[in-house]
Amino acid sequence: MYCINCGIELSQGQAICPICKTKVSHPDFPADQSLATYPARPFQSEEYNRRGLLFVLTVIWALLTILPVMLEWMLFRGIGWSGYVTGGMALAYLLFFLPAWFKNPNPVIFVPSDFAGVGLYLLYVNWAVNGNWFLSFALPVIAFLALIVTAICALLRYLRWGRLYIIGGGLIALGLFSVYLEFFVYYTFEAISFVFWSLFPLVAFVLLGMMLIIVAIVKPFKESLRKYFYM
Amino acid sequence: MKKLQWMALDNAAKIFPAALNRNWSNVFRISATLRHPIDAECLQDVLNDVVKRFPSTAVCIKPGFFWYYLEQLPHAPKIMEEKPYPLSRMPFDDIRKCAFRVLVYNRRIAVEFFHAITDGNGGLVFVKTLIAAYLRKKYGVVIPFEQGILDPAEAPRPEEKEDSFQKYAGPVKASRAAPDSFRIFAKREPDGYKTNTTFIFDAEDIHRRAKEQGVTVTAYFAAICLMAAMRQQQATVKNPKRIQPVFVTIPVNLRKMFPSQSLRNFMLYANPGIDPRLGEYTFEEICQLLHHQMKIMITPKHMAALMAKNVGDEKPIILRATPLFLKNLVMRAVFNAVGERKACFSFSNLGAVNVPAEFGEFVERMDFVIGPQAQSPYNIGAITYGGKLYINLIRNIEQPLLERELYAVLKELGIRTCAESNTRPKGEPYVLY
Repeated sequence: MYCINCGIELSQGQAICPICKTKVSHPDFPADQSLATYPARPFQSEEYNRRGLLFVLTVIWALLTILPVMLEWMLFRGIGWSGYVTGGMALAYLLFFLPAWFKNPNPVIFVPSDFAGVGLYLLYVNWAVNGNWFLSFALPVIAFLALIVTAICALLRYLRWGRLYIIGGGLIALGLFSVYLEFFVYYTFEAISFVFWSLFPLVAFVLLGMMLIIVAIVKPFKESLRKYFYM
Repeated sequence: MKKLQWMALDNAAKIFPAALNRNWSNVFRISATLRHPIDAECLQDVLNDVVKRFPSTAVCIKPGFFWYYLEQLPHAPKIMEEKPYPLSRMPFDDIRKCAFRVLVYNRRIAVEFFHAITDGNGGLVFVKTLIAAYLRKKYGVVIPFEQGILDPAEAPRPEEKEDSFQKYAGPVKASRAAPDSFRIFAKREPDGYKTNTTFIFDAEDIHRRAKEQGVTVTAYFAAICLMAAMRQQQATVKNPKRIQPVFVTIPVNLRKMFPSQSLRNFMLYANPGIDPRLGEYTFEEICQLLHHQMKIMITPKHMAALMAKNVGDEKPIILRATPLFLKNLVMRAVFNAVGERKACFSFSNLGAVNVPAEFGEFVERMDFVIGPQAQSPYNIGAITYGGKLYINLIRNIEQPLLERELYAVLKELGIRTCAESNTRPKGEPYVLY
């Protein structure tokens, strides 16, 4: 039997070519697992498996999350500081542990979910401190940032070309975001001026973004940079 | 109850338990494929008898206050089922119960040894004796006790248990200094899966080709592997300043140079290689370079001097009086820093296995696999049996980088081969190990 791709001769019972990983099939030799070099049955780790470990971590995390609220409720019949701790713990789980349950977590799903989680946490803090800034500040700021980051992640994931354009465009959008942020700070918290500090990140991000786009457009420049910075 | 024997680790073995880590243990494997399916119960009975004949191999390793030591096993370990890949990790918890394992799959019996207890030649004697005893019990075949097959009923001889390094170390120490070698780095299998690819050759053809070049089969095949590694470096390292020499570690069986009967470790290493910074090499050039380097390195005098260096290193009273946990810290740090920098991979050739005709009638094939190194992903084991040369290339990375280059070299040289492996199917779930 020979591999149809690389042409190497293969022993009987081979399912995959060891050289090019092409699936082996031959009409005269039906696949026979008993001829395989090693048994196919996946064996369970003697130490731990990933999902088991995550389950244990989740249970411990859940206990640590609930415990402060329970303690404060039992001691003071109310929820104060423990609400922040519990909310923070739940948010940390959403950010760091939840994606680990999936083999290939899709950022296009997880990034907006993470921002939604941050938004909910801020909504709780706003409610707990009787603030009046969620609708006028936190929501528009988080929504805009979520839009930018999700768009960058989606484009990077689904477009196979134009990474420099995407990252460059993303940087310019982040520069604009800094002005947007300062506007809402001014609007909500009555800051001194409409535009002041945000000009610095705006200029820096726009310059960086423009530079990347220029590098992407001018191919010889891109090639010379690739050569010069080769590692 | 008979008192169990214990022994200090031999000179070569001292580094192996210290260098163990979560993901790596220095293990090698010798297997024999019979013409009929294996009767595991019968093999277990035979193993129970055979272990008594090998008090230095059928052992566990225990930590003392100053050094690890070997302790004879009171009874044989249980025979295990084969796993989807060879040489799965042998954690120290297992080693302190038994430092080898016997695995059965279809028609194959495999024994995996922790390297601290024996080397390839000692392991081969154990495997041949085990299989001969099995054939005798299962089929009633009378197999003579010759060509490395021992009588399980005979009492072990004292010279089989000796640490021959102490006996044959020379008066002068040789330096171990050597330049660093190119090593392959690539994405590892996340769950420790090891892919073993076997290239099967006509031994006569390879022998003839080696003779045409005026070199040994070991040098000839090491040259093929070096050529493949050199091309891998050319393909991955684009910056000429980062090109490194490529060395291969070749274990040397010292029993051929010194009259030792030891079944424990008695081998050293030679590190021949080429320096691609000096220019392009033809295959013939690499063959000749390796041949001459090996001729210079592998002499009884040089080996005795290397032994003197290794034995001398463990002699200072301060070192001997240091508690084991401190020794382990230092040895592990030294091993991690310099241990595997000197070669791209090992090429270990057990040579042609000679067996009595009665043995050969029942045993179709033999394989020798050495586990990947701690940091470098490849190792290569070779054995000749029944007119075939079996080259086992094991890796712990996902892509068959060296295999592809090796096959390309074989094609260029017009060498016919047949391949097989346990390449994992695409999309198979990982099992953390």
